[in-house]
Amino acid sequence: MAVSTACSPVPRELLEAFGLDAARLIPPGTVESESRGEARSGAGACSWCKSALGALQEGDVWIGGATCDQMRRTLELAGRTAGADSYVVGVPKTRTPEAEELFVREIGNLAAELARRTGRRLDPEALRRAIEARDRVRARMRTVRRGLSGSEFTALVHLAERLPAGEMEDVLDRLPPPAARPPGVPVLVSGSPTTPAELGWFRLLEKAGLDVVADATCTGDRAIDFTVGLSPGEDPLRALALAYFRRPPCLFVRPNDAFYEYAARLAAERGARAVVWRSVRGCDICGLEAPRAERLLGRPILALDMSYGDADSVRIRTRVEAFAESLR
Amino acid sequence: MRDGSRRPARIGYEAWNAAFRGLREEIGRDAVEAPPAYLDTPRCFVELEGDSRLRRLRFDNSPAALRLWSFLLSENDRLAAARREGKKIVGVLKDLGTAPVLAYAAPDVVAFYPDGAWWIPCVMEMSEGLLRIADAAGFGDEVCPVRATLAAFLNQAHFPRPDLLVAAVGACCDDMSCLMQRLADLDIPMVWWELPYRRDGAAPGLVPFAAGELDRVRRAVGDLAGRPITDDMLAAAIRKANAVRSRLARIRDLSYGTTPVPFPALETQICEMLTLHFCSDLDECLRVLDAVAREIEARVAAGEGVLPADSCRVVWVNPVADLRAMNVFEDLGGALAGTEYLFRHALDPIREDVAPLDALAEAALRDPMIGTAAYRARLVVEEARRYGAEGVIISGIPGASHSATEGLVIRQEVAATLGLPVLEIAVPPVSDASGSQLAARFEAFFDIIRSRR
Repeated sequence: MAVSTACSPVPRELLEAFGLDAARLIPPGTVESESRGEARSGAGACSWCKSALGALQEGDVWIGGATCDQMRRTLELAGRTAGADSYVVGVPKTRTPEAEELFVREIGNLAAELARRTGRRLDPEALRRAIEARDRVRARMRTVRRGLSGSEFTALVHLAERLPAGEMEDVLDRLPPPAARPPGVPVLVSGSPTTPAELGWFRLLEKAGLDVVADATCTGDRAIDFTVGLSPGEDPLRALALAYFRRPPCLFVRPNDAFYEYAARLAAERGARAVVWRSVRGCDICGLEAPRAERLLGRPILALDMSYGDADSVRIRTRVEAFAESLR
Repeated sequence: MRDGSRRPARIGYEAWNAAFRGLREEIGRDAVEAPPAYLDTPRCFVELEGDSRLRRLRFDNSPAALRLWSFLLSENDRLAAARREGKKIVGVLKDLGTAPVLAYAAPDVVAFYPDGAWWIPCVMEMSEGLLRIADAAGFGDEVCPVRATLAAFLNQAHFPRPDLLVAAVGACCDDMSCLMQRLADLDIPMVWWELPYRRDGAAPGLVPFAAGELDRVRRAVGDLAGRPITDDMLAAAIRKANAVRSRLARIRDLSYGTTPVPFPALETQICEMLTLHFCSDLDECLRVLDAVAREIEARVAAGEGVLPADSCRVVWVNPVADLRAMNVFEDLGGALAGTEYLFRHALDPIREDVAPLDALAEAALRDPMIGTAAYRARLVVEEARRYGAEGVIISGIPGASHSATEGLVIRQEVAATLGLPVLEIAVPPVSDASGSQLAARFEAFFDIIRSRR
């Protein structure tokens, strides 16, 4: 059984406490996977969901959040695929105390479901250890973050989302000191999460003279900018649920002011002069926000709507270069 | 009211205007009260309101249908009148059928669905420019036709600016979620409430949570009305809403379950839509549906219908952005034998034996759009069984996030459970350009159905 967590509100630590090696589902982001996925989803799904479905294999189990409409429907499709299975965690869009308690209950339901599926009981100590290990990884990644380029940091996040915490700590132990980066116009990247195949897109930004100093996507700084921070005697499951609910939110939250507050603070702290807003094709949640992002982040913005075939296309390269030129 | 010399039929715009010149008097003669002020011919709505699509539609020829259409098309006038009378106006977003019941519990509050603006580009045949405005605001054709709602808020030419927006967010479609977020920037007081994801089937465990969310809405509407909404007031509103729903149940059973079909698809669709927010007048809504029900009952008793007896009986999934598609469907041999227009929960009776907020919460949690597509598919299957459908048409909504994938699931479930043929189509707000393709697909589908008889 290959278990993956889909979408950032699902706490991987909980699965790890059950002894499951639960990498986060990050689709390949290749044209091939997108095309294969389209055969399972239909043409209207977003590129991220299509690519994920395209990579779905027999024996896969996806545990994901009902974050955006497309994600929860993709999870349903995965669960209907022969040999695969899925479980959907309800994720409230609002951020009220009541919604928070609903999410805590949902995480409790997930724990019960995992106990049922694995035949094991949740060991609070195992959960505590898993939380502490992930907190350590996130803290260490925050420490090295500023020395890394956008593409290096994204690669590191992708790695952290795949590896068990112990192995990721080994990677961080062996991480060479950051190399000097060529000067560039500091920018914030935001919008849809990025896939491994899009690391080239980050390099395209860097080559054009942009320095990605901040990344407000869930495969960027938002992936590590929170700590569970267990106190002695605290119920680890509740603390975990609360931490995930209170972490810097995704754009799907309504209203999404907290996302913009986070992104604006990140941009200000890192000195970002402009924003590159990239949304994958078919993603309303990110794509339709571009005009608001320009206004709320108060910086020049390049809004890109991309399928996975576009990552290194002439069209995108030309637009990135023109944007970089306009900032010099 | 029914004139025995007038056989039921579907007639065109000109025939309608000619035949019903004296209809106002006819309705007044048979009605207990004076004919409603909004009653008028389609010509009036074309010439005064710019509802030019009416010229290309076919209508049921009964006075009850005329009243139904007039009631629907005059809603903006009613809202404007409500504003002039000092009533408070609540714009309800997304939940389809629940929050309006709560709003109508308050005195001097009128609730409506701004999302209903998604039909304006169709009814006005794009002359109003709403989709262009939406496009300029960043909501292009990758978004479902509900984007017209954003434009209607921006140009303020179609409905009054609400005093309060009630936004049901949660497990809703991405299009509506993004629209609501954009409307939040317009400085209209807004109360968000969470319509949670329902893992599958009934969700009793979520009722207390949803009731708490609705209680927040109740307080906001009460504050707006200047008077708290008590449980008794809410219970009274639920009884009225149930009266509407029971009328509709009768209309649906007779229309979808009788051969020959006694009432056309467009008009039954309007009847279903009325249950959502009562077209801004709950009491009149009841009278309108009563008139329709009486007309249908008389037709069924007389064995009369508006479509051939051998029409292909189909469950229709999703409302169409272009109303004319329903005409084309019937013109080519189709007949409705059930529907799932996204809001089945708004057709079911609301419980009257539990606390009113719990009852509303239960109703809201039956929303077919907040759970799995498989759940919705089961509703379609139930509908097909109930009315003896021979096929299912899934009318995909271009750009809608749920339409991207759910058609596949519904198709699989219908095929696996009933073995019925399924046709998936996509209907834009004005489908004239794709009319011949749509017609060809209907014809081929009906050939398949007939070949299976």
